[in-house]
Amino acid sequence: MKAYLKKYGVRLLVIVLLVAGVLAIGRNVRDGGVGLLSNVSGAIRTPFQKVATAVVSRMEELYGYIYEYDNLKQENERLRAQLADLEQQIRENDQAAEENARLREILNLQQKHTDYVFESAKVVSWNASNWDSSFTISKGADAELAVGDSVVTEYGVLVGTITEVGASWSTVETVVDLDTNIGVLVGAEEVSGILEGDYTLMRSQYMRLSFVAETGQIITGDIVVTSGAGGAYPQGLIVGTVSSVHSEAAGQVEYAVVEPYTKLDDLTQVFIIKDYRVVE
Amino acid sequence: MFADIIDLKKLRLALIYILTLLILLFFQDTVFARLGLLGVKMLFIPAACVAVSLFEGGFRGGLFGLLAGVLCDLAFPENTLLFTVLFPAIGFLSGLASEFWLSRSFTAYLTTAGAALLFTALAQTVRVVLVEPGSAVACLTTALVQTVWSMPMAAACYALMRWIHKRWKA
Repeated sequence: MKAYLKKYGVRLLVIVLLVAGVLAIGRNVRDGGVGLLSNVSGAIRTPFQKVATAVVSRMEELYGYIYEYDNLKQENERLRAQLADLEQQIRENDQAAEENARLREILNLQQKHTDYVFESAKVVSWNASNWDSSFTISKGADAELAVGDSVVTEYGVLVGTITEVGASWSTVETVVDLDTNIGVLVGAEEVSGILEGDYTLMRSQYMRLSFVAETGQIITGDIVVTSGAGGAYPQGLIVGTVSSVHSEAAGQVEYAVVEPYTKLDDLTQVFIIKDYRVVE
Repeated sequence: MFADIIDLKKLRLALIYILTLLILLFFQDTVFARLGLLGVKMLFIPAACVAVSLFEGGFRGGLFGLLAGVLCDLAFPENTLLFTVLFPAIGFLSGLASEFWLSRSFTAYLTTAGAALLFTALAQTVRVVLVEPGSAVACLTTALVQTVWSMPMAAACYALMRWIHKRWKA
């Protein structure tokens, strides 16, 4: 027996293991479950598969990073350019919308004053001098503008007068300029006076109302409009509001400080009254 | 033949100074017109006239001042011929001073340029004070602030004109 096992022992062991394996597999296939062999092979295979999967995934990521980076960069640049274009369109649309609103307002004004002939112009630049208040507009003799034409906003607020006319540009002296002299009516009582420039007030963007009619009373907040006297300016254009009143000891108004009705520094587009009917 | 008649070095220097003047005017009327000290804008072209005359002499400084004055009078609508008369005088007198007693140092330039800027500002106030005597104090304040505010660019003009003189000396 001993000698037999010694001679044939290994062969016998292999045969026994094979038979046992076949029986086990056969039984598991019949039962539908995962058998011992499968478990063992899975247990041995799985860690190696995990390592291999991790390595392959990492390499795929690296590949994607290297070769997709250029594509992503180009797409990013394309999208940035597209975004810049869209932002530019939005800005242009906003400007067009604002201009549209101003033109609608001037149309309303045109309907109220059918005798006015308007010309629109953009404000190009402000004068760099410290000694006057004027700006340049984008229309000139080519648009039949003339020295002395009144310049208003879309709401009919007087902002200045044309003092120089070039071929395609003009200089507008604002209402706060030192050389301003406008006949005006103030408040509900329509007290007459002269609106004139004052250097000290000009630095603060204000005007001086002088030569107020003796019988008149004006108060802070009164609206100042052009009287139209002399035909230099159309009648009824709003110029500003009374900011403060300075009276003499006897109570008579000495002068008043007038604030322009519109902020002059914010002007981007103005309208020139080229022609109107003079009311005497 | 033309090479005998025309000195190209002198012509080139003149053209460079003209170009420099145009650039300075452009910056004064656009960039620096938007930068104010207490609401006062700078006017540094008179300092440029002083700088040119200091390095190139009274005659060339006067010519530079004449061109600068004409262009500034066109840019400032309230003036008629004020700068056309004033700037050549500043250029010529600065050059005369540098010819006989004024050095070319930065300190000497800054003093002369400061005086020129102040004189220009005061000359601009004359029109306003004549129309409105009551605004003399306000005008004087504006003139002083304009002078002080123009000094930094005046200093830059010295460096610029000295570099041009050294680089393209005819």
